Amino acid sequence: MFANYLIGLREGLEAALIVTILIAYIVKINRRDVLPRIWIGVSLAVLLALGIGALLTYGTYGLSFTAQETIGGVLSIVATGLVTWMVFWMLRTARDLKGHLQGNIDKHLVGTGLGLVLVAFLAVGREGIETALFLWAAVQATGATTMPLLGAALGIATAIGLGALIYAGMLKINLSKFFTYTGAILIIVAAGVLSYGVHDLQEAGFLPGLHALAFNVSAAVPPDSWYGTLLKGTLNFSPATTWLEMFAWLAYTVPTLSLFIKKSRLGRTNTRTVQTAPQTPGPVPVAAH
Amino acid sequence: MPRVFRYARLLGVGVLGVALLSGCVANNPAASHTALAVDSSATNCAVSANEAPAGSIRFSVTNSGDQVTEFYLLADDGLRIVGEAENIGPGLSRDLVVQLDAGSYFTSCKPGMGGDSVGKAEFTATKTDAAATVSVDRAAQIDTANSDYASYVSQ
Repeated sequence: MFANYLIGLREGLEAALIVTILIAYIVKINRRDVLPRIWIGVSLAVLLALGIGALLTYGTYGLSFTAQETIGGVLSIVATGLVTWMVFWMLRTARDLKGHLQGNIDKHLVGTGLGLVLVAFLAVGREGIETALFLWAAVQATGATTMPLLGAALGIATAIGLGALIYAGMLKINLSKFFTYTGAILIIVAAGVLSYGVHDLQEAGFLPGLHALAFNVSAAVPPDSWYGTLLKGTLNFSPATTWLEMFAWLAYTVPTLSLFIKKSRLGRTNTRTVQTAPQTPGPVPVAAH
Repeated sequence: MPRVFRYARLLGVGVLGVALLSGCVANNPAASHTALAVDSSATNCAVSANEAPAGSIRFSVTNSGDQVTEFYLLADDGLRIVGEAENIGPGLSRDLVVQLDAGSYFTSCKPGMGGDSVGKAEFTATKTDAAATVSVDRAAQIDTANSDYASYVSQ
């Protein structure tokens, strides 16, 4: 049961993390009115994944291995793009927020409604089909034993619970720290999703180098241990990483994170000038000493 | 909404659609379908037969161990993955359906999802007459279609 629990936890964790950050962000900028869009995205993804999973399990046709890996790989790469867009969109909106340009936030959000639905949808749906297939397999086993289904359900519930805890913690930290932390976290998560997508495409045979490993720490970090599960579920860390996966990870992380740090610094100095602007006309009183 | 997203969305839907359609394999095809059972335990990966006629083959992998396991069907170089069933939790059974050409393959399991695989064994997909008949049929159908179309065009 514990092994099935860990699968549920792993599959649910990353989606929970992204959706949590998205919701915390929306709440922090006082736009609870767009929350339904995120929940629409999440529910659509859950329903679609369970539906497709059921169709493939019980229907006339199953999904070939290559197709499943290709869908997983392509969706992962699309998800990376969307999450990256979300990070920079949040940064821009945050800058406007700190400059008290409320109108600008409204403008961004109007155009971004569908974007938010898509991010939420892909965060959940990306590995949704695989998770659904796993869940339906657990359902099929209920004739013999209900333990796997119970374990899987508890695992997903734990992932959602952890998301709620992180959410509560996020609401406590101040706004500018929130933007820097979540932005950086999301970029690292997106990098993991990208390298996972590369691995899927390598398994499907679309990309070469499946057996050219950059490192293999499976002995130190067993994939079925609880810490292996947490690393895989959040950062998509694979104990046996191929060169191509590592290259994709670095090629994405280094420029994106640099740009993010540069832009968020720029945002901070901009804000400082905006905030100090009204004080500059008068003489500086402290200068007398 | 930037226009890029509209395109990305269309592209995504398109790719997904094509992948879904082209990747569909029949769950219950007619006579040519072969069903095999695989028992993945902590130390072994027992396939109910080590050969089957080429075509649609379903491996039903049952995990009798206490670790999460994976089942691999590898090409004759022992490296390229032809098919894989992942996330088979203890007590669960999952299917891998593949469309195999005649030739030799390897089957193996990976309990614990990492490290060396266990129970690596040769698996042969044997040549079938059925496959040949199908292609002859199809060639004949294409010929008929071609000549029908030619006569339609020349009318």
